[in-house]
Amino acid sequence: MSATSTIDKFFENKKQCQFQNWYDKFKAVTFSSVIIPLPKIFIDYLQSDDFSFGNGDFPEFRVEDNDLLDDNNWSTPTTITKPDPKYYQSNSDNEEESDDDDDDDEEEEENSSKNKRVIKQTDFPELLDKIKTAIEKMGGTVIPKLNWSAPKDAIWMNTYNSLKCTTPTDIFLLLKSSDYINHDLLQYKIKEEEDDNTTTPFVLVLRKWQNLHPSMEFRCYVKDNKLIGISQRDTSTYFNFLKDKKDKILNAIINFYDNSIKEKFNSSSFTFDCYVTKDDKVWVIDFNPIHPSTESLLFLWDELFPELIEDDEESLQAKKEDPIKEITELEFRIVQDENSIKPNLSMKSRLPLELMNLSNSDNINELLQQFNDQNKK
Amino acid sequence: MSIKAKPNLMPQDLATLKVEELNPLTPYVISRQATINIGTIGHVAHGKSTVVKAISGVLTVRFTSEFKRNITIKLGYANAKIFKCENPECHRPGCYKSYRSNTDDNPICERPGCGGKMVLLRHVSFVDCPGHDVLMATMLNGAAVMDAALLLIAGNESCPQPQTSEHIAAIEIMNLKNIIILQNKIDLVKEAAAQEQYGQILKFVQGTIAENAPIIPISAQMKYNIDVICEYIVKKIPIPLRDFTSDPHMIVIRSFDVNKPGSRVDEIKGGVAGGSILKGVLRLGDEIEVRPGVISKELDGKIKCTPILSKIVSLFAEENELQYAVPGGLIGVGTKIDPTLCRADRLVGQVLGSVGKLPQIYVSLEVNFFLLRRLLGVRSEGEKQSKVKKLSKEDTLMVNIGSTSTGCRVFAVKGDLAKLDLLTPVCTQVGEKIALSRRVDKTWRLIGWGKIEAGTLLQN
Repeated sequence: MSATSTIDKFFENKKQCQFQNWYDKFKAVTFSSVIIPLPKIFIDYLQSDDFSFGNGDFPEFRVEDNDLLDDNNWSTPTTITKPDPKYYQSNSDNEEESDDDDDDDEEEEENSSKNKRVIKQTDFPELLDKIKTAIEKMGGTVIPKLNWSAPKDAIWMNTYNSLKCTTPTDIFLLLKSSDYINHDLLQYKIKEEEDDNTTTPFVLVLRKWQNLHPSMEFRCYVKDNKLIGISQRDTSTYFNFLKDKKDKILNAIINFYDNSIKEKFNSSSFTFDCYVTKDDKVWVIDFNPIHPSTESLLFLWDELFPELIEDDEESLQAKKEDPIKEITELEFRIVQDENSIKPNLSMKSRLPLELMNLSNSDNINELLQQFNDQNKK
Repeated sequence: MSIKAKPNLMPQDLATLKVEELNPLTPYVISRQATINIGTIGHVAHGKSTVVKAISGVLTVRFTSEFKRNITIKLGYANAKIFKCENPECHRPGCYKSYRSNTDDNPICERPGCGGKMVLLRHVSFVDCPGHDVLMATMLNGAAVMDAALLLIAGNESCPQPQTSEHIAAIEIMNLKNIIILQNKIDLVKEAAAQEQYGQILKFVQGTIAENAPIIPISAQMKYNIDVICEYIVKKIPIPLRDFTSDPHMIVIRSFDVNKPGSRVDEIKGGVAGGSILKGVLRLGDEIEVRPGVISKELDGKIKCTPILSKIVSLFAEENELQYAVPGGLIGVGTKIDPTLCRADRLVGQVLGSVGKLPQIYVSLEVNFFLLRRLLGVRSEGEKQSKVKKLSKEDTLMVNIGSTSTGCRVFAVKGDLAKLDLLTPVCTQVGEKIALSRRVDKTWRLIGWGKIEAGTLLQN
């Protein structure tokens, strides 16, 4: 196998939670899915910064009339903007770029050559066929994911503003736009000299798309084969009917855990996400490791696994001010707030890095100032 | 039709509503809805959530993202009402007090022996920032989504901490002129140290947008000087100018299906949209439209999009029911829309307004763009920033238009004009600004800006 794991002391926990490691065992209690092993060329395709799609790959809309398609038909800008050449490129084709910029071109090319490889969908025809067949088999609409993650942070890069995919392009757009997928891709290192067709430890999972009700998704925490915590999965929404239904849901999940999960999973401590139907039938959606990268939702990891917490000076102080109790008996938490609208926490991924973490933003200020000035003109 | 009123909140009556007389202090409005948005900026370790809790009484959800006990708190929103005691015997700052959003309009003053009646002066909404989706909308459209900011600095640390510069930068980006600096955790230091830090802060903000901001020493933990914050919010933050008379326009940032799965047809409630009204007033019973609406694929493979027509059946801000909602804090709009269409935030990025009054729906755009020379600084010092490659045909980019984010594909470039195919239809108009970002080293990076010159309209 061409893969080596990255350094991560919880990596063993993670490995057990890969989709291909649990799907067969839990097939009867989860949504039907197809697992497609991925060749190295597709991993390179996902890793590459080259992100281009040809004519016809993007959705076609019913439009009024499309003058825009005419290559000779261009608008005359209503206002002439002359951006500051210190920050902005000149767009005219004939103007020489300044010397300063030419210097480091080569160096940059070399540094990131592996991110620059240009791979087209037509370079992996067999895989493309497998994906198309799988979509058909799943009834025409699927949710894509890799070994661990679905590209939930990239749904803005989807026509339907969801994970719903009907074509291979829909899938590729989501996978290539997602930081969650990048996180998965970092888990195994693939040797560069391997042949394009070498099978990697990565798989593409296509699951039948379901219009699930987010109120009925729950994350369950298992410690030493004991179910100790259940949390509402969507932590930014209050559903007023959950309070009354809580006991029923709790019983359904406990029964499900005892009958279908307990001591069947390859690890004694893990989390699983499940869906409770209107008839209180429970389905597994996914397994996740006890790992810092798993969201603890309405719990703190400190409450569930205090022995794993590494304290620093600041956190010791916080602990003193606000002590945290370890959970020993099963606890079920739902959002208790009244009807207030809160932003969805995953919305951050709809912005570029610069605006997400505003670090070192002196340049941004100057640019925005200019930008605003120009807009006023 | 009168509202199922919470006791002691002012009744709202659509029959007598005159929108041209509304303002962000109208008693009928602020009894129920926040009208002033205040950003809270600061490092979580500096006690951001404790401050918000001290003012608003709202405890926000806590999360850990690491096994280290480095608590990151996702604040979201919290609303608070600010009151002043009418009793002339009650002196400042003690006569100012804040309570939760659902508090009666005239609580009794808590000062021992006072017994005076308190008057509601402001209803504010605290918004955690940066890293918020309305940020982009603010920048692109100059819409003042945030009216002021509280900047938090920990009194037991030297100033400036590296993050403080970032936070000042964030304030500048949002073009916030009204800032109140809070020197928190003052209970943990001696007076001399607090004085010294006060000097450091003054020096640090010199020449920045926060130069003339008042600095208040507080202890959120001990609830010390919270009344001073309230007083300053009332006295130092100007009443924002709002457009109440235009056709209503709301940006949708959440959408839900609130039904219990398996509910009977006659029990089912319509979908709920949450968001911020940019202008105009939404009323109970209003006929509304949501654009672009439902996106579906037809048999020939072409994508169709149908604006949603519906009716407002309920309005609320926090747990307060409304008869009408105005620009300001986040509100929820209950509709008769098929709830499955609203499920799981599917309407995020769409706009809600009066039927036929919303901007048109575009599927491709021609933009006048300007690209950065280099990516903006996020890398470590010394390293040169990567050059921004020119736009080329078939590039796939992220485009932010107002509060909408979507993908686009460049299909032609000529000089400083580019034609873009959008991945999903967008409700916008010629003249609006957009931001362009590209995937570089596997993250989305800002590469430039643009302005919409023309576009292709979706066929209805």
